[in-house]
Amino acid sequence: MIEFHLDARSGVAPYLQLIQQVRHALRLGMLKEGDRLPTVKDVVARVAINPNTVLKAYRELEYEGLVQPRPGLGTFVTRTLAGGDEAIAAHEPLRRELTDWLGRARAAGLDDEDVEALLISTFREFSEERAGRRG
Amino acid sequence: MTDAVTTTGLTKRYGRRTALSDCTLNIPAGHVVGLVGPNGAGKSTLLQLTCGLLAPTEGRIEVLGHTPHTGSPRLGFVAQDTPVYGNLTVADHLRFGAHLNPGWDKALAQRRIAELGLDPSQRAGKLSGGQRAQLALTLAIAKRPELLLLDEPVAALDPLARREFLQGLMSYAAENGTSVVMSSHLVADLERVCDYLIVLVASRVRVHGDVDELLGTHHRLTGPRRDPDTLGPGREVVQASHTDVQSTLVVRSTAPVDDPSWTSDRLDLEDIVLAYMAQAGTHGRDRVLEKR
Amino acid sequence: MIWLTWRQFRVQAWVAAVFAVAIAAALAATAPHLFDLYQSSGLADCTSNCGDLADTFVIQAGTRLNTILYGVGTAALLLMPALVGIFWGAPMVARELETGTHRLVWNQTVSRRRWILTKLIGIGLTTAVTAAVVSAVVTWWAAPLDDGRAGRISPELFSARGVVPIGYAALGFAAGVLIGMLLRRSIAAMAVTLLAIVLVQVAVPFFVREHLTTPVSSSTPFDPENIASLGISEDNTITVHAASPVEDAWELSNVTLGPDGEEFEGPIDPAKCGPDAAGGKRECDRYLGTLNLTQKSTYIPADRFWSLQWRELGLLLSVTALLGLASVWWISRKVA
Repeated sequence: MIEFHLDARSGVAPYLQLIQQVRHALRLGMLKEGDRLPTVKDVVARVAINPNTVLKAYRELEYEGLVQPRPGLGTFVTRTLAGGDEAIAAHEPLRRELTDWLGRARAAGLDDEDVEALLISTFREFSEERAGRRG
Repeated sequence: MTDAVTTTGLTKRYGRRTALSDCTLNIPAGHVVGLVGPNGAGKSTLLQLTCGLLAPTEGRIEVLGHTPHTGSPRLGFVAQDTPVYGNLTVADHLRFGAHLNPGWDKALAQRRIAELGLDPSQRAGKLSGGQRAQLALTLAIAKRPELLLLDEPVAALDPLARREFLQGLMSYAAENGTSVVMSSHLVADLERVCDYLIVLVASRVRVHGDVDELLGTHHRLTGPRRDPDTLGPGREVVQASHTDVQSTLVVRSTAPVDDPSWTSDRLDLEDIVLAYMAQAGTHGRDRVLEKR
Repeated sequence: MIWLTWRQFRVQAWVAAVFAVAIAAALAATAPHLFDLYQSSGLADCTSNCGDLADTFVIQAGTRLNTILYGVGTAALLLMPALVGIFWGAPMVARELETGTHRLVWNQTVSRRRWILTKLIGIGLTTAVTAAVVSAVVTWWAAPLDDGRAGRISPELFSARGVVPIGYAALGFAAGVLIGMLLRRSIAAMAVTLLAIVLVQVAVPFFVREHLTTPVSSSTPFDPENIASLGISEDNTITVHAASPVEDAWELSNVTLGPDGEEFEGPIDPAKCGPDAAGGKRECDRYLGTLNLTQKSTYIPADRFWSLQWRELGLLLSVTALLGLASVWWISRKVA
């Protein structure tokens, strides 16, 4: 079972934050197939948000095929995003390459904010390019 | 599903002061509705008209399909400053709640009091503001209303008590699908809990609608100075400000603004409310019309 | 609603009960001695010319304790309407409006009409019962002393005996409630209520009560033997009054008329009456006896006590009911 939290200053809509947190947990293997998500009542009692926001997030996750509601029992994970053993095995070498890159960036005089900005903008361009190619 | 609240030209005057003028609304059931506006905008008046404590001067109001009256089992109301009987104990409050409400949910009331850690033998006058608000909320929800009205319930509470109050309220709403209308002069109090918003400034409803819809249709446009009227049809300018070279507009528009000379930004709920307050003119903030 | 009314009112109800029991106990304890004295003094069986017996009895019975009890019992009944109006009536609705708790209770499943009716009837009945008990005990205990003194038909005792204290107390309560809900402030309502009740307690005995029955008028030849007061001015005018023709009655007027039917004011012969008269009092009395004067008095006799009591109670309760209806109407329509 995971616990949700909300960042009021992130500017991201609360229902999107909930979706991101579920996906994050799925990706890191904290949630596996068959696990139950917290009930709507549990979520609103914990983070004090509108119940419809939680319902909307769960509906979105259901639409993506990640979860499935079972009436009277709750909402259950039907698919994991952790990409199997192969993907997890790939984590380690990728992390090493990224660490090397970060070392070079620091050596070139970039501070934390510079690094973050560069990472995000590159990541965004990369995603948009791929999305454009697909569309 | 019937609307929770429908008003047509609803107006309330106290002598010559107008507390609410020409309010036409319909609030669908099943929502948590935020009623926002500066102090004295008429929020309390609208809520008291809704629960039947006040009668309209003009216009009509229907709540859950009927003309509202106090003493209805279908409505729960937590008044401003969450009044309770200071010399009665917490247990006394639950007892009179049970005596006065045929639909009283004793188990719910007792569970809530236990969860809140309130001492049943404590006199209500000795409770903290947060505890008193929780007691008032317990009384209002244990009668199991279909529509729950709350007048500035968290205004007097510290951040922790505010959070706890909203947690209790939301978990009740989630469990029972109860419609909720709550007022506040601070958008931040309502932002996360409401999915429907009514902005009331200087006795008039300025905007109302589904929160997601409001967020999706309001934009801040920044660009070279120009006349806002050239924006075209279907785009309502809520607020405009100009420097000698630049115009900044807040517009409501269902279609996206694709004119490349404008830079379009998203607005959060607070920005939208502030834009409507500014539109109403600041003079409205100074007038205190609420009758307490 | 009954439970809530009781829960909010129980402290006051206990205070009232303790007070009533204390008075009843004190009076019951001293009653046997008082009643014995009443019998042994002969006043109990006296039918006419009892003045001297009465004086003797009142002196004998006038122990310090009895005097205090007599005063306290009478004062309690005279003050009760104001106390009830101030402490039970005025805050009943005003305090709710002040603290906003009316918005709490009216949003339970109870109509405003039922809310106010339950409170009015519940506390109103408590008021009436308290007044009835205290008045019954005081009326019973004080009967011998009342007989020996001015008589309970007299205005200063009438309001504190019999059944009218119930009416005054109920009226005080209802007035307090209505004033409280109109003013919406407990303290202001208490002050106005006090004023209103004092006004009623003065106005009813002196302006209203005599109209509830037909007074008896009597005209008898003026008897100089019965002169109660006599005043002679330098210009030879005179005011002269004879003693009341009946004992224990409530005298409304008592004038001495001249032969012309007008109130007799002289002139008189200064040689017969006055500072220069030689014959003194006896000569003056004889002279006044020859002037063909008439004593005309109107009064309400003591045996009208109970019929007058019931009529006044009826009047007071009617006004109380009107005030109560006004309260119900106001709460249902006007207050928010």
